[in-house]
Amino acid sequence: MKVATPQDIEKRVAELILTLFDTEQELQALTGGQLDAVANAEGAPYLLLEAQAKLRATEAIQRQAAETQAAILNALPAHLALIDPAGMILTVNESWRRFALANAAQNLALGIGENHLEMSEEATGAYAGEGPRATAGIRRVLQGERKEFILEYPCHSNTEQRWFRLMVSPFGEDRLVGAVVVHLDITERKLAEQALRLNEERFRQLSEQLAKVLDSSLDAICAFDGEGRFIQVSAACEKIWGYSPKELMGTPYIDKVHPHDRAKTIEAAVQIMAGKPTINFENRYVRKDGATTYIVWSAWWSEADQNMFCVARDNTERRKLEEQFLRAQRMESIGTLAGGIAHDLNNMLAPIMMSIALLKLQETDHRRLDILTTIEGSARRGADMVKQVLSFAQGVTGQQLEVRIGPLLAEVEKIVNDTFLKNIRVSSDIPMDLWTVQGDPTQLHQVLINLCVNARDAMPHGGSLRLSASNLVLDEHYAGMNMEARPGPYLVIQVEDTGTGMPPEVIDKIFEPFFTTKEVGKGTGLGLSTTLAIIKSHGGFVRVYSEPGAGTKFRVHLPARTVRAKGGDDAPAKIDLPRGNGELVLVVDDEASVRQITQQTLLAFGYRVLLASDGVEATALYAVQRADVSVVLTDMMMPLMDGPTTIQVLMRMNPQVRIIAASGLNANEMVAKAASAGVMHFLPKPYTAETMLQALHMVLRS
Amino acid sequence: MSQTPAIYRFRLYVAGEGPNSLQARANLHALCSEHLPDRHQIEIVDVVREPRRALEDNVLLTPTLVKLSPEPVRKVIGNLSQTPAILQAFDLRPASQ
Repeated sequence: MKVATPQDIEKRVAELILTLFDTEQELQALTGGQLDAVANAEGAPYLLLEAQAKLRATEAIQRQAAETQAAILNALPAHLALIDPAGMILTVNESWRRFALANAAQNLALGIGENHLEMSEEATGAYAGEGPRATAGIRRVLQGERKEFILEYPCHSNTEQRWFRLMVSPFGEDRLVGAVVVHLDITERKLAEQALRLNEERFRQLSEQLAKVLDSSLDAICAFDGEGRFIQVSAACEKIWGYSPKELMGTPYIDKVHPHDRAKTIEAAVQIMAGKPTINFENRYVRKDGATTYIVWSAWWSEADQNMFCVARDNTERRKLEEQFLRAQRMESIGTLAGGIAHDLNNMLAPIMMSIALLKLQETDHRRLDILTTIEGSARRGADMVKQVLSFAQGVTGQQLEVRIGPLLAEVEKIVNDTFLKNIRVSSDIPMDLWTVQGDPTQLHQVLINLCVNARDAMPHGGSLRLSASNLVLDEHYAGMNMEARPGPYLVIQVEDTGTGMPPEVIDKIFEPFFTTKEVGKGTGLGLSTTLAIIKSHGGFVRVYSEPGAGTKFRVHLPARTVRAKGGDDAPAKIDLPRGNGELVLVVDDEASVRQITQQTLLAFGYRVLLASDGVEATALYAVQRADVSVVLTDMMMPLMDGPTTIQVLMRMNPQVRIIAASGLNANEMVAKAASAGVMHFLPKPYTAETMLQALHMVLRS
Repeated sequence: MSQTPAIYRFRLYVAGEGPNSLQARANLHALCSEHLPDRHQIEIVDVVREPRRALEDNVLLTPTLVKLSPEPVRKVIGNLSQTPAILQAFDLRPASQ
């Protein structure tokens, strides 16, 4: 038997391969090239070479696709798992694996081969409640009952808040082979939602609070559209206007403005809409019940909303209070002046009454004596009535009259001149061509008196008070720098003193109610605030210039009418009295009439008389005739040298000098000074012949 | 005609995912849904997984389609891409009829 050589085998193999190849070629040729496999004797298929090659290529492609898919799945941030219909985890992506690893402690270490359903069902902890829901949802997808299941659930760890979105969808083309389970981290979105909810909640709360604040505000808060109709009203609006918010909404506010104030209201609204907010605009409204209310506004225009936003305050009560203040203040200043005026009037009545006493003394005819008694009674009654009238001060509400400041100032000057201590020199400069102002003469009078009284109080040791007035036209430039001023004609009244002056911090406060630099009981602290209120109600303003030690200058600016003011104005004793015995009496008084009647009375009752009109003259006379003068009767208030000073000088000349100090009202300080200088006898002015004679008698006998 | 249309039962022998086998499956599905909607049954026999079945049925070549019913039983070898020829072989007319 021939042994096969390797060459033989090689040859045979080549032949067989060729045969195999030929066989396949023939099979394909017979079947149109559409065969994949043939069966062998056992039925096992033999894949034809061509099919094998194709399959290998397909496999390579599939393998590559699978790798790519895995890479994609692993790159997904979502945790993704594929589970079979029983819930067994078939595969997971990288995110799932990492999360499960990191959260092993939380019973989430779900790995391949474990049952997702069981794991979810057994979930424990704060959010275990979500486990059964998740499981039920996944199960329904796996059972083909649902095409999709989505559940968002919290999954907080000890250190952070987390939320996930579970998405389950069926897997498999023809038949269900499982489900894709995806857990997507939605913490960021949840936190954003939470923040948004929180913000919305906060905004809602703020809105509610704001609404409450607006409604509980005592001030009315409202808004108007461009046409001036109410588009927003707070609860307080009803109190102010008497109309309910419902009645107000949509109605034009101008209808409710007092007819007299409509023009200025519209003007103000135009200004506001032009971008100039107001903070202190006052006008009057007619309430639903017909009453008039004063309302003070602050308002601004919102260009963005095309709305006017307003805060309104009912000023009616304040107005009433102000009126009361004005009245109280007027009472106060009149009270201050009443004493002085009484002094003045009594200076006139005293000579009358003393003259009657003198006449009666010389009269023996009974009929004439009766007439004199009648005159005396009438004079006395007159004096009483004057006192009563002076003690009564009446409040008058503001009028709108054309006021000429010239005569008003002259009148004030006269009152001040007559009532203030003589150590205050008063002067004035009142031009003839002053413009007029519109207002209440009584109130303006009050303002000026007030300023003068303040000036007096600022000069406890005397000084000079100067009143003046002038016309002034303010231009745009000035008005631009001064909020209260408007361009146009003004009348300026200046009250200037040479008193103590004020430091800036005091000037800042002087117009505040109840602020006073005077000692307790001396001032109410209402004077300047009243003054300011009056000036403001006249549309004017005040400027104060002062420095400590340099006096104070008040300049009152009142809107003027430039019509030239025309010229022209309108303004109460017995016999058997102690007699002298030729003693010489030195009478010192600045009032000529007082000197005269005193002299006559003294002469009639047996005295000799020396007259002096002031302290200087008195001391000069006394220096020459002191040996002869028995007693000095001196007034306390005099120009040049006042009573106490005169007394001091006299006492130095002669410590034993007998002095009677005649003191009027308003001179307590002077009396105190005189008393401390050693004066024993005081005679209240005005005095009757009787009281004077008795005082003289007592002094001469002591 | 009250006569119920006959149900066509097919058995397709394929060799795994061999290229012609895949094509045959796709073609058969397409043919059935076009010409025999709701009256066909298809059984796929993968000879790689079940070599015994091929032997029993005497199927030597894959892919092979066997029409089991209605009678007569017919065999078609190949990827079933020549639709008219197949329709003719199974006594089917184009759907337009």
